[in-house]
Amino acid sequence: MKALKDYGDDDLELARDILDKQVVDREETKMGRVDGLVLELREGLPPRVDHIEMGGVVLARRLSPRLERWVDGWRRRFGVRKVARYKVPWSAVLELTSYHLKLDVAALETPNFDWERWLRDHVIEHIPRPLKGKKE
Amino acid sequence: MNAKKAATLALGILTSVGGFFDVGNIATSVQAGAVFRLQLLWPLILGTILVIFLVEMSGRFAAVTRQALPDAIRTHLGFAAWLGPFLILSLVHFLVLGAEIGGICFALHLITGLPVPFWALPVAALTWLFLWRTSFSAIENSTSLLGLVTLAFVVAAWLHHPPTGQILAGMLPTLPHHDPVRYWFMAVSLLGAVISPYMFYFYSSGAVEDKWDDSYIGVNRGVAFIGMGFGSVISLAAIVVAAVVLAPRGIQVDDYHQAALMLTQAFPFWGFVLFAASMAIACLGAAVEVALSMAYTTAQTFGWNWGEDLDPREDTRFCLIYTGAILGSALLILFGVDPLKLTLLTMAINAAVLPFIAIPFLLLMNDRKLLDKHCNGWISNGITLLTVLLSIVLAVVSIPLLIKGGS
Amino acid sequence: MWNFFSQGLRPLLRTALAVAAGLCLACSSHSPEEKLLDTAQTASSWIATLRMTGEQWGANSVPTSFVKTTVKAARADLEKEAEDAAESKAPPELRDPFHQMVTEAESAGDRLWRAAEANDRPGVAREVGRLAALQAGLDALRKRHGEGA
Repeated sequence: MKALKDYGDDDLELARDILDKQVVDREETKMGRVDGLVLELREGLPPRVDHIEMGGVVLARRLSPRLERWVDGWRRRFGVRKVARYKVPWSAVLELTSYHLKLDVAALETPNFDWERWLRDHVIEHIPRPLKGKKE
Repeated sequence: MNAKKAATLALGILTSVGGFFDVGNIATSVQAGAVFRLQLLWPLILGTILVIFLVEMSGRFAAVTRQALPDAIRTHLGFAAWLGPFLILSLVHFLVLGAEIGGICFALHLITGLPVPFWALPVAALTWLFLWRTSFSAIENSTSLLGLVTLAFVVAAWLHHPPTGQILAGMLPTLPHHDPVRYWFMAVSLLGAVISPYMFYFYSSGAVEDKWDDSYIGVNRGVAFIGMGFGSVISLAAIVVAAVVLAPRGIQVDDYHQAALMLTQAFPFWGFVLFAASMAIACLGAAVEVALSMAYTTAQTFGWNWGEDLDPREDTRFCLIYTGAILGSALLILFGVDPLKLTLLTMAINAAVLPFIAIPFLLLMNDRKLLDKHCNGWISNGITLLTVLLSIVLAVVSIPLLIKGGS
Repeated sequence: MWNFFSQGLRPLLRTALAVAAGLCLACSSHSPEEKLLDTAQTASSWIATLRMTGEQWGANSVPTSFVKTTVKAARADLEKEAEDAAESKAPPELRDPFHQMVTEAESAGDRLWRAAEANDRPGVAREVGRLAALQAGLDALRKRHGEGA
């Protein structure tokens, strides 16, 4: 398992090591993947990673701009997410390992979990639940 | 190997044997035996060898990297490369699930006489309830251990004293004496039923659910070789019984009713019940697995929280996927799609799409950075290259066969 | 890796479609006589199924409900085959006896089911015998017209 500090001598490749990586929150709850990376171009200086983006719209854009518009239209009309792109500044990154990218957030409060919360409050609450759960 | 690992190995073997037989194996084996007697044993043998290696690789991958396949493929090959195979795999999941549900419905129809579509929604509810209420290991162990009832086919085959010379001859590829189009369609479908693409993807997620690490590599090898190997003996037995009971009477299997007679000769009175029970249990176990597999694949692709042992409150989208999949595919049966025809079509599609599903997997199995010393050796690579080439040939050949032979 | 996919697969797909088209053309040339013989094989299989169903019912190996549902499934198929036979352009010395046998098989199936419901064992045995004769007749017809049994 390679952590951010171990990438010191190797090059950290954006596409290979960050893009599409599993994103987890402070408690290591899975909350999505790095769907997009946004770089900042600076005058006379090398570009740097400004923030990561998450969301179906971001994924759609990687395939085609027209698909992106279609997916965004769907989200506006039928979706539960209020924010199409969830932007997380690089400063919020706690840890980058070969398994995941850990962010200093709580998953439940992020737009990524809008659907999870909606389904939980509107559907799952009404169904009798089994007694399974995290085993300590 | 300590006691705990030995127990895991034993359980793994039993569940592989009990869980091997599903609607695809039933349909293709019985049809092949009824029409071509013992001539089509070779696709079963070939498919079994290939699936043993694929399953072993899948388990090894998950044990070493602690990642399931869909997760790893998106992470390491990227969304664009995974999207195509993901959509294809989802389609395959959906169709196979429909076929399995159809199988359970038919078995219940056999026992009760009530029509197949009547059972679609109750069976969907039962399958869903299973996933909603039970943990991963409970699911695996219950359905697969009960699935050992399918050993009835092996006992029946043995009781019929089949000609061993012909059995051995059938294990080598031969050209058909009659009806070549149907022969090759059945060969392709048999291969598709054994090398079911969802299976090795599901196996990797299962290994992660069971929290395997690289000390489980030996257990994994045992489960793959012994479990899958013995499991395929059940399919072989089904071909033999169909060849000895149905073929001499001139009964082809164009409908599951014709297959239901096959155990009645070896087991007077109990044969009918054993067939229905085998079909119901085998298909229920498989249906639960396929629905789970679809949920695993989708959740991992998008990075959602997933896990059959979690409280549904914590992975609502994961639960939504298996719920939707079960309901959607049950509708196929509810609206009267013929379960046998659906199964055979799906098996041919399985064979046709194998290259798209297997290639990303193989690319990862050779990634030294991921697997280090557990990377594929030349035998595994050789077998998998053979699988890829074979699957491309199958993909090309099965398109016209689907159109011609399926009609 | 994506490049390998898109560039490697396109010529492969073109070849696949060409082969597929070729195979389709080769396979689709079937005379009306051959088509009817194929249908006859399926019909013979259903007659054999009804026969075995009756036999196993007599041996208490299958329930009466199974006889009912199997006869129903057989009927659906045999009716379709009778229609195919009526519309077929195959020579009348194949088409007419085949049509007659299929229709007789349908009625034998009906009588089989009714006998089973009435627990009429001799009745069931009788229909099984009739179905056996029909199957033998159909297989002889098929052999005469060039199809191996």
